[in-house]
Order: sequence, then C-alpha cells, then structure tokens
Amino acid sequence: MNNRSNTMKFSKLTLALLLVLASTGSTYAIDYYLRAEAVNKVMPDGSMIPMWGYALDPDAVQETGQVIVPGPTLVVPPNDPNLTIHLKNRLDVATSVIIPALPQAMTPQRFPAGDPDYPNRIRSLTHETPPGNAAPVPYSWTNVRPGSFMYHSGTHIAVQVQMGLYGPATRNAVDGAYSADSDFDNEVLLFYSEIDPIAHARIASGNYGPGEIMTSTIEYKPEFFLVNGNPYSLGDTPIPAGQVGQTTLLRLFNAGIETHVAQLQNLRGLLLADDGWPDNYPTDQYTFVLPAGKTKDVLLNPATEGIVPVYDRRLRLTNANASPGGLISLLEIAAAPPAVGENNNEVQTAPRNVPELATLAQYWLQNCQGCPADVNEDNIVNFIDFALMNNLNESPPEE
Amino acid sequence: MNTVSIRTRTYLLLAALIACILANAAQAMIMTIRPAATPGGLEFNLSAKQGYILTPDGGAYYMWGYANGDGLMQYPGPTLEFNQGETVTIHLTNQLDVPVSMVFPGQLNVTAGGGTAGVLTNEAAPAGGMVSYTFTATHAGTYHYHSGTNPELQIEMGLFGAIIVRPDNQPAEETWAYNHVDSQYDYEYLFLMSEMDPTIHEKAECGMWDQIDMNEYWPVLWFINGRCAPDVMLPDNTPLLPHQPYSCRPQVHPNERMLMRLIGGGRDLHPFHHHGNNALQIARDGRLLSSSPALGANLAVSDFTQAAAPGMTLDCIFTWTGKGLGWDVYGHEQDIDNEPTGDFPGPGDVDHNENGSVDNVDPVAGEDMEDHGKPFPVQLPDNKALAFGATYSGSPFLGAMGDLPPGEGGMNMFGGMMFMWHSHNEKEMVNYDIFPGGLMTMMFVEPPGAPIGGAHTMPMGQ
Ligand SMILES: [Cu+2]
Repeated sequence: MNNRSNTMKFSKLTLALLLVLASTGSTYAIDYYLRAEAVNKVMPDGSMIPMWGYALDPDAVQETGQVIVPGPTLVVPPNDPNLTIHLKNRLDVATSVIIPALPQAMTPQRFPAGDPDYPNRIRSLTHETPPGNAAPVPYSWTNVRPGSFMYHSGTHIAVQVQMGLYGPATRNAVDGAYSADSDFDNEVLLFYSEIDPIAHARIASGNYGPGEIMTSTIEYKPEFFLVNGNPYSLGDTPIPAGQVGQTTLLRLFNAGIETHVAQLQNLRGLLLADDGWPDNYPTDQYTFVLPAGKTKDVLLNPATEGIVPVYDRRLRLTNANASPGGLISLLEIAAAPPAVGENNNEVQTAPRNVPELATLAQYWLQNCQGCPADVNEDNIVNFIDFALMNNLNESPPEE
Repeated sequence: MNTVSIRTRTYLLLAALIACILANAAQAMIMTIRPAATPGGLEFNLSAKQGYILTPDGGAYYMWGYANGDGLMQYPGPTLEFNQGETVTIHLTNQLDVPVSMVFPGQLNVTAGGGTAGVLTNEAAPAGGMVSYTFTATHAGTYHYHSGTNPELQIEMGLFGAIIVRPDNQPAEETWAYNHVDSQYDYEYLFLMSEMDPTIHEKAECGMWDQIDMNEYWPVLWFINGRCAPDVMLPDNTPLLPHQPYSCRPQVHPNERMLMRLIGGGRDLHPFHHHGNNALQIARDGRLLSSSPALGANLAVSDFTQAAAPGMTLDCIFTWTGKGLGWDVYGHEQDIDNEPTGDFPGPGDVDHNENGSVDNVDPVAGEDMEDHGKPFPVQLPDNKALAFGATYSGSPFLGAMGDLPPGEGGMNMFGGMMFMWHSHNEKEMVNYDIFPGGLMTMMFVEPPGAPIGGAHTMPMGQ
C-alpha cells in the first residue's frame, strides 16, 4: 500500500504548505510570465514549420524561457483559485490569451470602423497585448476550479491557435484531481494539435488574408498531428505512466480543429471529467472522443506492466502521409515495486505529481528562512528532496 | 369514421400458423463464428486475404479482409463469439503481401505470440507469416478488432470485425447482453458501421501505393455490416455478395426488446438514427452504464441518434408499441363507432384501457392499451389516387393486408410497419452520390405471431 503512503505524504506536505501560507498571509495568486513568439519546428520528414508558441519567463523582465508548442503547463495550486498570466508579445501582430472553460469578464476589441477589410468587426475576444510591449499585460482568473483546461490565443483565433498559441492549464483539488475519489499517484498529459504546413507558410510570410493567396482556413488540410508538440516517430521513447498498483491521471486535450478519438489498447480508463467538470458517475471506457477544444480526464489503474498504446481512432497516424506517425503515444507501465515494509521511511519513493508539488514549493520557498544554498527556486528537485529529508511534511518550520 | 377499420384476427391466426411451420429459432439473429470449446479455451483460425466487394451502384472494389479459416475474405471480418471468462487464442495467417496484425480494443492483457514486433502489436509477415493473440474475455459485451498495422490504411482496406462476448450469469431461458436483466433482449442485431474512399482501393488494386494520400481521404460509400443499402436487406450469406456475408435486417414484434449492437468501425462518426422510437443506450465500450453492478443500467440514456464514435461500441435496447400514435395501430374496431351495426352497448363490450370507451376486441400481445380501439384519424384515398411502394401492404394497420392493384406490394408479407434506420449524417445515405443507399436499412415491426429471421450460427470453416 505504498501508494497510500505516498498519498498521505503528499497530503501532509500540502497541509504544511497551506499552513505556511496561512501563517504568512501572503498573496496566494500564482503568476506566470508568458511570451508569445515565433519559433520554427522541425517535423520528422525534415520540413521546417513556422509556428507561434509561448515561452515561460522567470519574471516580468527576463526573456530567458524557451519558446515551445504547446505552451508550458500552467499549474494552479490546489489551495488557490487565482491565476494571472502576464503576457509579452514578440510577434508582429496583436495577441491575447483566454481560457474558454473559465468564466471571466472579457473586453472584446474591434477593428476600427474604417478598416478596409474588417470594419468594426471583433478582432480579439478580450483585451490585447500589442507587439513589442515592454511591461507584460496581465490576464487574471479568480475562479480556476479543479480540472484540465486549455489556454489559447483569443485574437484572430482561426490563425493564432492554428499557428500554435495554445497550452494546458491544470488545477487539482487538495485531495485528488477533483476530490478524494479521484486521488491519483501519477499524471500524464497528452495534448493533441495539428499542422497544415501550407497555412503556416502563408501566414508566416504575410500571404494570408483578404486579397492574399490564402484567404482563410476553409481549405484546411492538416498533414502533421502532434502529441505534446511532436508527431510520433518510429522508435520514440515510451512515456513513463506510473506502475502496477498505482493510479495515473491521464489528461487529454485537443487544440486541433478536427475531432480525434483517443483509443487505449490493452487498458481501459475511468472517464472522470469533461472540460474540467467532473462526472457524477465515472464510466469505464477505452475510447475518449475529443472534439476541438475538449479536455477529458481519465483515471488509469493498470494491473499489468508493459506498453499501453494510445492512438487516434480517427486514424490520423501519419506524418505528411508517411506511416507510422501522428497521434500515437506509447505509455509505459512499470512493474509494481517490491513490497515496502511497514516501518519504511516514506522518503523511499518519489512523491507523486512533481509538477504540482513544484508549484507548491515555489510558494513555500518565498517563506523559507533557513533553506540551504542549493535549495532555491531554480532547483525545485533539490527543494523537494530537502523538504522530504527534513520531514518538512511533518512539521512546518514556520510554526 | 369507421370505414377503414379492418378486422385483423383471421390474419393473425394465419401468421401464427406460418410461424409454427417455419419453426424458427428466436434470438440468434447475428451470424457469428465460434469454434468448439476445448480445455485450453477457444482457438480461432483466421487469415488475412484480398478480394472484391460489390456495391449497389455497380461498383466492385479491391479489399483486404479477415477470413474464417481459409474461407473467403470477408468485409467486415468474421464476428467472433465468446463466452465471458473464456480464454481465447486467435491464430492469424497472413496471405497478403504486407505485414498485418490484430488488436482488440477494450480487452485487457492481450498477449501476442510469434510474428515480429510492430508499433502497436506483433505482426504476421507477408505471404504466409503467422501470429497468435491470447486473452481472457473477462467481461460480456460488444467489442471490435482491427489491424494494428498501418491502421489508417488497413482499416480502410477492410481489416476489422466485431466481437460478441456472452455473459456468464444469465438465466437459462433468457438472453442478456450483460450480467443484468436490464440488458435482457428478445432479438439482437449488429450495426458495424464503416465508410470507404474508392480511389484508395483503385490505387491499391494497381499497386500505386505512392499515389495514396490518406490526408486526401474522401469517402463516398457508407456501410452497415459491410453492405450498402439496399443490399443490407438481402439475406445473410446471399450468393450475390460472396465477400459480404452479413445482412442488417432488424425485425421485432411490438413490445419486444431489440438489442442494437452498434460499432464505429471506420474513421468517421456515423450518428445512427433509428426512427420509430427512442432506444435506451445501456452500455458503452462493453460496459453497462451503471453506477453500481447491482443497480443495472441505471445510467442508461434514452436517445434517437446513437453516436458510436470510431472505435466505440454502444448497446441499445429498442422497443416499439405504437404508443402515442393516437389511433389503434391494429385497426381494432370500436363498437362505439359502429352504431347502428354494432351491438354497443352489448354483452362483450369492455373498457379495455379504462378511457371510457368500450369495445369487444381483445388486445393483442404487446399492444399499448392507451390507444386501443381509437379510430384511424384520416380517410384513406381510393387506390386509384395512390402510388405504391413495394413494402405497402395495402393497409395502414399492423398485421393487416388490403387490396392492392395487380403487381403492387409483395415485399411486406405480414403487414409489418417499416422504419428507415440510417446515418443522421444524411449525405451518407447515398451510394457514390446516388440516393437512396449507403448507411441505411429498413427496420420492420412485425405483427405478433409473424416469423422473424432465422437461425444464423454457422460452424467454423476449416
Ligand atoms: Cu430519417
């Protein structure tokens, strides 16, 4: 039952962090500094695709983060529903960021009344970040509920989402994905998207729009199908997805324009939630329909070790028509570890759900008075080790 | 008001008599293959082969498919039948000139023996290679299998089929789909849906592999159980369609429970729309929609369009009584309308449905009593003012026949009610742009006592 002890340990640490936060009375809201910028992505056939992505910067000043597609996973801590994205725009068009599943007051922006192409028409669903802005523009949510969400551009969505301005955002409840009933040990994100290379080339070279060679995405013809930003290539390393006897939360996202159907092979899953809304009664399935913009949370409880393929049953399984490729992921289920004795220290196994823990750790660090030099925000892993080794999960130092 | 009412009793007796003569076995309406069980479990021998299928528009298309033993290539592959708890081994021999394989979505712990490792599972080498798959069918339900080798091409070429796992805990005299009475059914039918882009098959036939672009996929033919309408209504194993043995001819008596086993076999979603009544979706992906096993299908959903997405299976229970029509679908005469020729109120007159009107006609099995005896609301035009379809019995009433001009009718022997069941993506009701056709069939509600279908289990062909 070492997974239980992991869970307990996690909960204690969570509690400790909560206590720390409560005692310091700091502002809890988590802040992410994102930068929208062009980036080239190389496909398995060697073709170079111009894309727009997001980088995660450390603060409002430095621009040291790497531009990636999809954008970084924005983890919102369990104890706090507030999220602020501070957006910098290094594209040459205006942009913005929205999270469709989360209600928010929006301030739509229109083209000018005299615009020759789009007089008075909506350009952005909310306030814009202009190109080259010096100070980041904040986008805030005060109501992030537990769940899996997708953030993406709210400006000229048909173009900017296609170009790659999308990413996952997640929040857990304190005791599980949504509640103690959906507690989990490991977490895997599969984020689907698509590339129409011709559209990307036209948009990047300014040949897209009214009067241009390509006037819209009506002739949309995707050739590449990405999981977490990359199409499958023969020999890809399987994704570690937990072990026998533990549970794994599979978060599914579809930022593409097409519907995909994630089909599990050799394993089934409990469908926990759609669009960050938990189902009252999770259903046991092996197909998970993902229309455009959909997120689904699936709980896996593997009984045998081995490879679990997850692939698009709509058969987008090629890279520019070369097979195999596209939306294929191989999840690797490890064997159950040897039984752990009752008196074993909980430190023996890694804590579950490192990304979430790391986010919590960032809070904790702001209040850490006696942390060693190598335990800092740049070295979250050290911090976690430090916290566990010093039993910080048992007794918060701030008390 | 009563002039169109037709007495049906004589006819129903006749129908019952015919039913006795035919002595048909009732429930087994899905043709499956199932080898004799051995102590080691079930052993299936399948092969992957090429062949041609026929479409109603006159097309003949080059296909790959699974065959039973060394039988003919089939589209779709043989429907495999297991009992829950049985260990199953499927030996696949590859007679194609590309590697091929099988995967079993929804099944757990499938092990592959022999062959060579592919992306999704072990594959059988071209031209005679073999591979075997073993698993235990732990749960009852509706499932499917398909090729795990270049599935985007090989599923299109025809390498898929259905699986039915029978529950281990149904009462001896009943048929259940799952281990709960909520899944009890009187007749079951398979709806394995797929689609086809003929240009891929034409290029494959000529070996023009480098000309096939799966991103240009543009289906124009749509299938249930490997046939396009109206071929779905030809019998199972019709010699006219040697590579397409499976029909789709759903029939049911009023108030009986029809189990619809729906499978999204292709790569597109075909929302399956059944006229006549809603059906209760009781299971998805081979599991009862249930919050707890003891509570049965308590999460079932009533719907009239079933969205079996690609790879997904749905089980639905359909019943029909004519409830809510507002008139007596059997055309039972109502004494109150028959004055002065009737004997109302007379000695045999009973208020059968407690709605205040009395009649002397006994209800039939499965009749919805609310409309018992209610008159037909319209006056039918004279036959000289009508055009006739082949399935018009001459009467609007269930189980009744009326006068028809010479040469008309004849395709509705027992006076059944017909409903079109089809893809609700309406463009899929054509054969290469010709309406009607495609993903469509006609469902017959047959009058009580009329025969339905026949026995449809054939022995293993090796
Ligand atoms: Cu219709």
